[in-house]
Amino acid sequence: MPTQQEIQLLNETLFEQLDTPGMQKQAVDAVNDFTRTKMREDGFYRRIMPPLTITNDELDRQVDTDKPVKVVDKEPDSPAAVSIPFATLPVNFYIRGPRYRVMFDRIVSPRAVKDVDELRTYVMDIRQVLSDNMIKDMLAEEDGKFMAAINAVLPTAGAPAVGSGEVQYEEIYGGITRETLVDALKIMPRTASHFEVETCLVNNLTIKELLKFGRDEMGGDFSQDIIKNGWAETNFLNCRWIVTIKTGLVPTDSLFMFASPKFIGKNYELEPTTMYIRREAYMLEYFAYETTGGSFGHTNGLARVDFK
Amino acid sequence: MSAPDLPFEHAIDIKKGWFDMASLDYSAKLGTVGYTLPRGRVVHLEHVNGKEVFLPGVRKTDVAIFLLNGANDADVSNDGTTASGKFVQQAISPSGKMSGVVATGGYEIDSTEFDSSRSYVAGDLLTAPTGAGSGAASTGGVLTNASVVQFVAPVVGVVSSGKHVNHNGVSTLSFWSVWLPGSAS
Repeated sequence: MPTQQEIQLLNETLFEQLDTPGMQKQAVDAVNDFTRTKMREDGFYRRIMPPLTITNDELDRQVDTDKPVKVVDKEPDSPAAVSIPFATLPVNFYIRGPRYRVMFDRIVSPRAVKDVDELRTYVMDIRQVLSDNMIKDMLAEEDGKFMAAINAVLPTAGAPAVGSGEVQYEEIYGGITRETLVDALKIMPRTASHFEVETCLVNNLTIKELLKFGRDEMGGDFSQDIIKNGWAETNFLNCRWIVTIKTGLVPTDSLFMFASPKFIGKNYELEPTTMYIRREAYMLEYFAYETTGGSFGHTNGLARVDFK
Repeated sequence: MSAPDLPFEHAIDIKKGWFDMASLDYSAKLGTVGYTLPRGRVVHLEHVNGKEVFLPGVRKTDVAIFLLNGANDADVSNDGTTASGKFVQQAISPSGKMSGVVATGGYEIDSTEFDSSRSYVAGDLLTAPTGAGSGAASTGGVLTNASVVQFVAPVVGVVSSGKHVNHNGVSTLSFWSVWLPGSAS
């Protein structure tokens, strides 16, 4: 955490760079470094499926479009091995590897304008003033698209998931207890792929139910710690727990579970979050943008439980 | 495998008025349409179940929007199933948003999406009929000068240099975007 003097110095440097012809790129770079760090830290989509940087060379050209596309291979299925008596030959099968296309689009923040002289009065970090709301907006859009795709795969409790055809969205009665949590973690390994849950996503109200766990449920001093200090644990039940305040996307008393990202799909970053800043006389205009593409190629690695 | 579509077979070229940062464009997802809506078609904005969606053509006082993207564009949609319904993938992005330029902006547009069976002269008023069912695939949001009466049918443009074959060998219609509302009732 920078001190007030350090922030003051940072702000003066930024103003100087914005003011000096040829130095504006340094100012933009300073804001971009700050923005990208915040983007990495704050979005749950990025934490569950970390973005993979993709370069122009790795894109796959298409006949019908000049827009960026990446073709991803899926592991081909194969028939099961069988026991046979002697003097019998195996059946043949031809390997056909399925693939899917990951398409890209752009996320862009609204374009903000500000008189630079009004920025002079800020005592907080100017980089924060410029980028904070935009980062929140961009992450909300990223996380919203991610949850929309999950909800498309797992539309209704008790119904088969799109793609896998297995029930991976269940309602479990009895509230959030040690027993119901462990039952929730069985849903994913029960599918044909037998994936284990690596990451759990809940909102900040749901996680408070865990504070109610007694010593007999949570185990010894851990129960004491969370009742004294609140939830600070990120690893629990051998899973990484991500807690979000986005209750509009992750409903209360719902638990979303994810296998390792390599089993789920791809999240490509073609253009990392970039802040466009232009100063014309005393008016500053700026907006953030990024180009990403993502798809779930395998839906067995997703599960959801609503605790009732 | 279906035949590939060339990027200019269905498209608008904006001859004047775009791109700059002040250009008036608009983005929304497509509503329920029973055919693949190509680039260049005219759409209007409508609220369906509380959400903004584009639907083909214009009615009454709808403001026309000329689509820069088609429903099948790689930055709009990524089909998740095969023709027989087998799962391929579930897209996280693109999100289904399409964008277009709004007729109230000052543009001269060259569009492939017009009724090429008709004759056009400079000054002709243009409209674009609605139609989201599969039967309207060749008419929904397609520009025409047929039966355009001021303040009755919504006007979306006025013909400029008119019908011609462009440098890609595709028949196009040049017009200025104009918005004149039709009858409100």
